[in-house]
Amino acid sequence: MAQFFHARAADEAVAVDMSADVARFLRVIASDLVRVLEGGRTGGRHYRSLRTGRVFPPAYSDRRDSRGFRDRHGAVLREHIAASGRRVLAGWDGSRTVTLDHKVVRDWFIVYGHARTSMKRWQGSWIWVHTTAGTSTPFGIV
Amino acid sequence: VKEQHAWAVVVQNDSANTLADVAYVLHEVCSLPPEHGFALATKVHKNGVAQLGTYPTREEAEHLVVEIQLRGVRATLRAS
Repeated sequence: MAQFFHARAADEAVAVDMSADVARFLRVIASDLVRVLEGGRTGGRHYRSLRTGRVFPPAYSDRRDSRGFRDRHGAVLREHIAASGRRVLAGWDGSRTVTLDHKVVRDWFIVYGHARTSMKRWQGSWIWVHTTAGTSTPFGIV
Repeated sequence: VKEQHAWAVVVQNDSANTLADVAYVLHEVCSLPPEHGFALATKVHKNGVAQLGTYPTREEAEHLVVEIQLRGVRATLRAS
């Protein structure tokens, strides 16, 4: 069965339609991301915890400066992403269609943008999202 | 103590984000018009990096880097 994730502008919101498997995976990814950001662990064999250094790449060329940056901002950034993840999960029950207002789109962007970079080695390949503009963008991991 | 130099914020290319992703983030974080966001994202894509701007204090530059990194795009800062 073909997997898909379609997003289109709908008034002041974004209407999303996706296949059942994509919906299921996106739910799992958001749940696992929140869990590990809160210090928990997932049961997957490829992925157990998420260090702040993996979530946020060096902000400076100097290692000590980068460490200072993470010390100053890392905890807040982690909590910010986790909060976005919790809102994504609270506002979407995993159904195949969902309408997102712009604030929620921001949360989705934060959650799946980070899942894509931070958890890249967790899973193997990408799903590709076909937007109504005709472009494709990697959006989640399967 | 007054800082002696400005701080430059640089957006870095990566293997995960598409040009559209970076353009969207720059549009949202910096309120860049979409066409400017795409122009800058194209520069990142082609050159590997693009300077977003310079800021008078490290705090100001770090704040911007935090906002960009929060959205999964890599940004760095350096004294300029």
